[in-house]
Amino acid sequence: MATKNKKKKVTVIDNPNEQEVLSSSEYSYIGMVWSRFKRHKLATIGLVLLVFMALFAILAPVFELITGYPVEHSSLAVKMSPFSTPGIVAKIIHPDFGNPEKPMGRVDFWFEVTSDNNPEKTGFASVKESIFKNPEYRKFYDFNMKAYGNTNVLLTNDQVVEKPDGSAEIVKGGYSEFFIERARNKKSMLSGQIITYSPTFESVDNSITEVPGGYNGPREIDISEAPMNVFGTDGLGHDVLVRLSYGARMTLMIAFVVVILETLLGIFLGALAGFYGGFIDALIMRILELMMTVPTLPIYMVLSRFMGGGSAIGIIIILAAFGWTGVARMTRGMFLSLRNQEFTEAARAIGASPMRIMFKHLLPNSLAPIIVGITFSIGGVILTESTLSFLGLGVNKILTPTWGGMLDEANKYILDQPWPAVFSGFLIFLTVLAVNFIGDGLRDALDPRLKV
Amino acid sequence: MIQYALKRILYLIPVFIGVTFFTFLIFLVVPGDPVRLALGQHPNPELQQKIEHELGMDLPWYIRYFRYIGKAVQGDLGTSIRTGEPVTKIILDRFPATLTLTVAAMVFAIIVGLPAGIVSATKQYSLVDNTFMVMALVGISMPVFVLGLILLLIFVSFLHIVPGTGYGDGQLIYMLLPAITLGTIPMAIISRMTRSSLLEVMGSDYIRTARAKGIKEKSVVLKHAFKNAFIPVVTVIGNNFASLMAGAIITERVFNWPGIGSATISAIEQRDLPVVMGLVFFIAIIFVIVNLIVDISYIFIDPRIKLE
Repeated sequence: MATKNKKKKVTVIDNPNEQEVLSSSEYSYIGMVWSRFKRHKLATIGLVLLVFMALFAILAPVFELITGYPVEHSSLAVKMSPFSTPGIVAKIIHPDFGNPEKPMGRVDFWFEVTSDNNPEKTGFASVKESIFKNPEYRKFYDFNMKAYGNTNVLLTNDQVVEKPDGSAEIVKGGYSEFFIERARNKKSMLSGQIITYSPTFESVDNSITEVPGGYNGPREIDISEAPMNVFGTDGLGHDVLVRLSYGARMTLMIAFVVVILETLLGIFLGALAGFYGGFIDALIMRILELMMTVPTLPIYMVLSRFMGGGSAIGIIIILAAFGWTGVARMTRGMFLSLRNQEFTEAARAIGASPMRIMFKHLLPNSLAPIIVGITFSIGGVILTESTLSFLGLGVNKILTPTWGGMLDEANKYILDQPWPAVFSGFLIFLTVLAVNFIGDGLRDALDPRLKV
Repeated sequence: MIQYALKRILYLIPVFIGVTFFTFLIFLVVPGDPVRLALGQHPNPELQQKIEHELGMDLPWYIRYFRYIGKAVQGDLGTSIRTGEPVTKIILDRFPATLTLTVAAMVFAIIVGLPAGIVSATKQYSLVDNTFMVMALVGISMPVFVLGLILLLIFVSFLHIVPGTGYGDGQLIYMLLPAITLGTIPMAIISRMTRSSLLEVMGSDYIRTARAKGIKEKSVVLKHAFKNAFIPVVTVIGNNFASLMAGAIITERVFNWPGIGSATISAIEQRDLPVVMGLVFFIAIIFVIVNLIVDISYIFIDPRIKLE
């Protein structure tokens, strides 16, 4: 169809109107690829989906503003269904709360935390006063606090150290401010009958600092004025929509950075191997074969657990360090087939430097399969990153939401409340599907003979 | 033929050394000294030295590598620092579950993927073909854990067809969901590959000859075309054993399947370095052996391979 059009228009070139059409992008290589790509229905759908995901990620702060839930905000209303509004009651229950005559040792406040949405589940929270004074701690606290069953407050991943006086201390670098009273039923605390509650202490905070007229017994604080959680809340009371949006940022950012890095590395090494051949080729190919024989997922898991430290940069480096093999192999293959062709010899004859031949002559001619390959590998990286996060070995899921991490978190209560798991799983799936559609379309558009 | 097989087996030696060395190297750079982990935050320096000496930790790394390999060949991969159990025993306990799971998944992938591919190829661009191929693309894009969780939700909690997760007492019903979960991606790949490979073969001259002879279409496809179309499919099946191993780790986690994968995850979570190392070694070796079996099996499928 496209070629027919072209012929027809070339014959009527003296018409000035047609000349404009001729100079349009239709006749450039990219224009041709684009017009072929557009005809691929699924690929177009994929592109629209991916743009949508990118917007979803970019607009994360806007979602925060609209919903009224900052990403680090966690409320008592956990595991809520979409379109519900949280109604929360935090009840201060310790009879000695605020009583200056009976100091409570290292624990200053006790709360019984209940949620309107799950009234049958209650927990006690005890917190040292300085937490309320120090905004840094409070922020951290809002993220991490988990009330354990019928007992007390623990920080995620923290160690409980028992003290001789019967109290217990939670040790975490810099956060030893958090103490807990020894659990009434120690077993249930340590075995972790996990009911996740994160009270919004900001609301509680105000009434505590005021405490008008000193001690006046246990009292309730009603915090039922809250905006709607459009996608519900997760097990820590985070707004799922905002978390998903920030998760999109992290997941997509990691995927794109990894793919860019592995492409650069792969093209460079593959070009060296394919162009020079001989010893360099043999060396690079042996390393490549080795990396392709080793099972990567367990190695990612090990490196990420022991070296990644839950940071995005760690994950990016690990994935890119092992991901370049596909691109390198493709580049090498293309270079091998192109390096003896006439245009390369011509370039050599006029004295072009090896670098110039490699990157000005050979690379542009090998780009078609490489582009298709890296498109598919975006999907692969998203899958691997999500898998690592799902196994709890990815980016720290409490501080930084990722889709895989959210799914792991939601998996714990998937039978009570499947929504957070459904949303995050669906987004991962949809993004990978979109990328694969685009890859299929690109393959057909760039070079229909390609078999990648 | 035997010569080729022998050559492949000999080629295994450098691969073995390469893979084990590479894995060893990774564990060398990984922080987390197992002795320190076992002795706690403030170990007695004398005791630490003594244990390190007993374990050979004070030796240079290359000697440690050969010692490790030497012991591994004799079936000693060290012991768990948490439970004191020999790593070899953990592997022997857990491996049968993983093996049954992967084989079941592959059987599922083949018995569903092949017919789907054949039907799609014979009815190209029909509704059936389009449906199958979109489903295959969906299958490839579906993360293993998402698929697993969806199946769990549907079949365990809503329909109550499957009693639950875990190994059960080895009843088949427990294996159903994990096998489908693990087999879906290979199934999708196999059906796509079968379709494209069969389409290519169907255009060749000998198929036209077969048709001209008046052979029934069914036997043209299944007897004449399929034999040749099958070769690239086998390559794909073989190559997918690698991703199957990775998928098994996730599937085992989702379904509490007591295999190598879930053992690896829990060992990593507990920072039980000797166990992790032994398991990763084992997985790497299984990997290499499976690749070898696939390579050798080509000779039987495509005798032309000998010539190369």
